[in-house]
Amino acid sequence: MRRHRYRLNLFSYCDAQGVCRRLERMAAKGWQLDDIGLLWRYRRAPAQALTYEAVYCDDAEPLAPHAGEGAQPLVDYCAQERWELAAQWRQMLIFSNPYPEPVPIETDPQVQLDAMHRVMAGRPLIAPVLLALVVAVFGALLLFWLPDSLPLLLLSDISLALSLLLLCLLPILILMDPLAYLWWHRRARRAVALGEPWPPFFRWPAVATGVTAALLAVLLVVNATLNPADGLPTVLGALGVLLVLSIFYAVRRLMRHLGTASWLNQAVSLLVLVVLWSVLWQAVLPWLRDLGAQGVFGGSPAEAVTLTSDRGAETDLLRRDALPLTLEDLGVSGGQWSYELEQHASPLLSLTSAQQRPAFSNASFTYEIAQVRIPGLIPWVQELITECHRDQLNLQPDPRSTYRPAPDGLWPVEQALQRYRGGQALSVYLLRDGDTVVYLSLPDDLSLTPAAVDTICEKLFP
Amino acid sequence: MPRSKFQTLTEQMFYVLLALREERCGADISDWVRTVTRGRVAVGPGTLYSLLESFVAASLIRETRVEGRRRSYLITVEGERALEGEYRRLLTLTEDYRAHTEKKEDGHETA
Repeated sequence: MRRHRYRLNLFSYCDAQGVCRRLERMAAKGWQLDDIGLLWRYRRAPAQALTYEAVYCDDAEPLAPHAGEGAQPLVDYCAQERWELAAQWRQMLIFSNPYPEPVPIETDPQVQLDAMHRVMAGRPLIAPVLLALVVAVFGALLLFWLPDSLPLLLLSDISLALSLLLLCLLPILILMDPLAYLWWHRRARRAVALGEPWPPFFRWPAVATGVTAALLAVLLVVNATLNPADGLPTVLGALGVLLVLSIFYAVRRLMRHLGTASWLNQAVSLLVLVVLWSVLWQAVLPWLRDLGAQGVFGGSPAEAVTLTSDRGAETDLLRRDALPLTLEDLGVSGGQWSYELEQHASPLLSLTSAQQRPAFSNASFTYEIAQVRIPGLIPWVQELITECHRDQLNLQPDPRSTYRPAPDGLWPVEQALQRYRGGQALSVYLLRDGDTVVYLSLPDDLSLTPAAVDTICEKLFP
Repeated sequence: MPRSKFQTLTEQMFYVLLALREERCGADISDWVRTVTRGRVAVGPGTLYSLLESFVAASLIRETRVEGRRRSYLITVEGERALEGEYRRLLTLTEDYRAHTEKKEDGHETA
């Protein structure tokens, strides 16, 4: 027979009434509260009609055992009326009383509301606002630095789309609970002034947060199943973050149970968080990236190659064999090349970006293959590819750069456009055949023979 | 318009201040209030704790003694003034009520 039962805490910190009614129902079923935090821990006990009441006490130390010295008078006054401290959730002290019709702990709604607001107006309101601000600033900076090809990447990489969605939702989710509290407090103050009972607290912010987190988790797992090369590292990274946070909370709980002073608990648990976070960021995530490059999660493995020249040496992980088309295929003799390949696939779009350039040079052979899985999206994808490979002039699109139809008969595809700057034709093409759109930028000195055209079409339009 | 703090006292505030006209420890205050009001008014432990904290902060009472975990309090001059103010306010209310009721009864008798 199980002695303990764990449940996810889906109550808002402000919802003391909801918490107490839930505990009373559980006590009646034979489960009494042992500990509360991210999870509720119940212990088996004889089924009993217990009354629970929660008190917000700004003198209680969130991490001290038995609420700390400051809250002792309150605990003593409650004990006098047969209320026992059952558990503590930060500065919310939860008392239980086994006697019928006990003297309520709070008998003046105005005083009760003021005590609650003193606690809520501190860390529970300020911390989420600061956190939401940090996330919003981080998100804004990230959006500023994200490449022009972001829309294409979002269409082709579900993990990236989910991460970005989470980043946008996070400040809203973080702020939902404090905002709900402020709204509720306003209504409760009016109710107290009119001598009416308090309005019930909204349960939807906490439930919405839980449901959103569960939904994102399901989407991540589905994506990892459909597309392991992109999805599995994301799931493992998310699990790593969860593990770090769990260890952080476990250390805090353990030190509290051991009776460690609140300040020491705070300092040690924060230190543990910083160390674990650094290990995750500096060691675990790069390791996952290396595993991905080695093809552990799917895709072709990369090889480590050192490129040398009179200017020094570069070591890089190359996926030469995975490139659908190389300059060697076009008859260009081998040299010190650097190869880059990025592949993403989603139910909407499969995107392959490849680049081959001489070591220590920017002159390159670049192409991008977009296989559109929904025909209606083809014109839009074509537009997006044109946009993200537009010529730039002082960080603005160069108005002299245009695409015009390529010379007749050069490319055996449905649509072939060539880029012009002013009146001068460039070795840059935008090709479309069926559901495949290809952007192709050839080295200027490459002569486009019919044989080279055939090879390109054969390799890039599978 | 919201009332300023302790400008008017609730029943619990009134009786806690009244109890502290004599030096008492926090734990004895609830019993005293219950006895004096013959069980009509109960001051819950959470309310008592919050009130003592707020009254000390507003200098309406002061801590006189700490013996182990027992803390004793006594009303201050400011506290007496607040109590007196509330008493006068309640008197005004009852006088207004009486005057209004008598006038109404006189009116009925004349009619």
